[in-house]
Amino acid sequence: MPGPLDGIRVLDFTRHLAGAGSTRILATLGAEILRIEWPHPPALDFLRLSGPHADGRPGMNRGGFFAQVNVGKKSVAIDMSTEAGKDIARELIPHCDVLAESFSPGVMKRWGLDYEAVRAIRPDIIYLSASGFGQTGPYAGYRSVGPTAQAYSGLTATSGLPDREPAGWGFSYMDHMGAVMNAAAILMGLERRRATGEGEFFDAGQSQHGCALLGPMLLDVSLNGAQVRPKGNRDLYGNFCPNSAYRCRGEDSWLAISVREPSEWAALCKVIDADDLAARPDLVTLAGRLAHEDEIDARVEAWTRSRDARETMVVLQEAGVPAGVAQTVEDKVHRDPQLAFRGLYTKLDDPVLGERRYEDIPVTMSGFDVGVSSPSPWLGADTRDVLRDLLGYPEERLEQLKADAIIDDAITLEEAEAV
Amino acid sequence: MSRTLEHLTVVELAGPRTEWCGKLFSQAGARVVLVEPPGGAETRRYGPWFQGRRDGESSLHFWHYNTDKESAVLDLTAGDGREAFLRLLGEADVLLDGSEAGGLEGLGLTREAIGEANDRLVHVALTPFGQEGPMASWLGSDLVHQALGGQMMMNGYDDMPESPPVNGQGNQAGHMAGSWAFIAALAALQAGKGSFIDLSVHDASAGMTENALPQFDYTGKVVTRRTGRHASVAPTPAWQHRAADGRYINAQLVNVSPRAWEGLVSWLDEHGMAEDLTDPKYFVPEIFREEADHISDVIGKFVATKTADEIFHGAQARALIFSAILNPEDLLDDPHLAARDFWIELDHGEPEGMLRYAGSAFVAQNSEVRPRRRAPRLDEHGDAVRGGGADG
Repeated sequence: MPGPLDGIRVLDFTRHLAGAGSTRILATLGAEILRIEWPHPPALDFLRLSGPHADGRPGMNRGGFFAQVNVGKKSVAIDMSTEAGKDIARELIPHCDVLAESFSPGVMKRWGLDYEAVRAIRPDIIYLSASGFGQTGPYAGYRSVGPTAQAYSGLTATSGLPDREPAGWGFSYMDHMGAVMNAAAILMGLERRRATGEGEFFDAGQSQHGCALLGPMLLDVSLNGAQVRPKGNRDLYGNFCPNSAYRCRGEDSWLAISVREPSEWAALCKVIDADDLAARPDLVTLAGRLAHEDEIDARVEAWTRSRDARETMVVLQEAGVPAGVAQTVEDKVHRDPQLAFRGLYTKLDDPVLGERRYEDIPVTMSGFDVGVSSPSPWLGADTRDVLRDLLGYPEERLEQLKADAIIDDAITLEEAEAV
Repeated sequence: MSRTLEHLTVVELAGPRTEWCGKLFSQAGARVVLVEPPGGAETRRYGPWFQGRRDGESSLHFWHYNTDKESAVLDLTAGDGREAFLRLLGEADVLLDGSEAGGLEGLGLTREAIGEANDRLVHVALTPFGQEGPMASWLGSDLVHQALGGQMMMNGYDDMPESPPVNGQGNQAGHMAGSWAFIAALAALQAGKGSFIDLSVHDASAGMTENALPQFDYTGKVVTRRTGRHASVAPTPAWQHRAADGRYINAQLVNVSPRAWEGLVSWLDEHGMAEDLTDPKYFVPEIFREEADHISDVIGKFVATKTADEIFHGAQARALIFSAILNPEDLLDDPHLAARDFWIELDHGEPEGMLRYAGSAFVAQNSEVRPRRRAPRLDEHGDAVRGGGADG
């Protein structure tokens, strides 16, 4: 079965997770992704140098995180610092529906590949420029990685224990969500093209997307003049109570429990043998429980702390109480029957990396084949095929371009291991 | 200006799981009909509240997520409600269905019945754990999904013994899943045929923990939480420093170019605070790594003498990826967001008048993605919807 994006081809100048993660999403839905890259800056993706590495040995084709972010793509190695390289990229444009890039603002214009130049070649192109703060505005030149965007947007400040420094987030949430929003922008463009035949340009700022993800906090500050401060794991707006992570038996073992409905409260009281709490009419309502949140949390934790988190989760869920273990990655891989049932971790084999797990996508779609299906490309793995099949370059020309260091390729295992 | 998705019609069954996806459609101009049960959507009873007014029309949670939507009350437990619902689906491109697994089928609204109403419909079912499987009937919440998904265990304090893992605020599991629902629905539309999309919030959150899976898969090691910075296998230097005004700075040193390093050191040196960082030995990557705690200490002492804004803009001028850790209210008068028209005003009519909202973060050139209309009052468009006609 085809994927829903079969036939969509993307000229991909994105890097890192926030950029390259967006074209990963399109690849899992069937789009053909042509990564334009090179082993040296500016077209080098630093993720290719990042660990962890297969067998602990560095190498352009040995990075596990790069592999995770670039499944199902093709790699076309072109030296974009040369005029001949830029000409090849321009020749590819008519064959592509989408161009995506995540350089600092200005790079694509210097290469003569900004939206105006590209639309002159392909009027209905969907063009995404993804950067830290966007192409315009006083901070347009500012640099950003996930933690920068999280700090600027308020996501960092609102996560933490009360009266402590911010907890952080612990990972680059906005690299993931930047990637998701960038894929969404491209798809909005494709959908509009389907209806109108017209192209579109999106100027995406990872930091601005972070701000938009604050949710109802935005209106709380703009309309109520609120100062939002962290409340640990409790619900910021008291929509759930109890709502926290409770210590369980064993080292650093925690169970999250959320209660909103009176039926859930009654079920929780029954499971934790708290007949006295269940009998109190003032605790039936959310407002009543919020007035006694410290007392309730203490009672719940007094009960959980001598119990196994996973067994307790099952007991609570079977009684109708939302509960979940705070899982590590090891828990997710080895102890989560639902993720195993849904096949979230797909194994793929690659001659350099070996057999590895890849995070698959959270959807199945009837009538379509979607998901992670082939590993990440070696740098330049598809250079020859793409230039031959799409542009009709004869073998002699490919050889000459390679000899002139305009293009590169990696076809044999030896070549893949050499960089 | 035209709106990016103004040609689409979306039917959204009101619920906490569908509302972000519905907003992604509605702010792009799609006609989104919010089908509410008698009594209204549950999230009309979620805080925060508009200026303390706790009634069904004053939930800022509901206001935020339901801009531009139409509201129609349909009782799906009654025959005429189901008929109106199927009629509505007949003219829709997408159904956002946040009912529990099997919920619609229990009402006689089987996938077959929905397919008969519209065989080109893209039916997105968002459930906590997916349609089938050993945990399919389990209940979720944003906290529960960030716990099971792995986000929480990566976030917290390693300098505070016995402290719990901490979740991220702002309905982020809902945002992860809702955004994926939007992506999957738009992708299905490209193929021009109907599809049933089974989306699990658990999968969506479990699949977003950056380098944790590769670390585990390649090294067998599990990352653990670190105060104010990324979870990691081995301890790392602090990134987060307190500025003179009591606010915090995110000062991550990653892929620091020689130019950025020179800029940082000369900045510290101007204030007599560079200590030994002027030593060229720090250009050697191994020494830079070995001395990371020392470098962090020197930067932390410097940050403590400046305001967070001074560090933020001073560092960015020197090509460093630092940011002040802003509070949400700081965004209201942020000059960059103002220049990018992030904040907008929506008309609430009397008595509230024009109210300030966040727009969208999508900036398009040939069409527009931004809210234009306040969230609907309960059943505001019900007569038109139940009558079978389009409203506006």
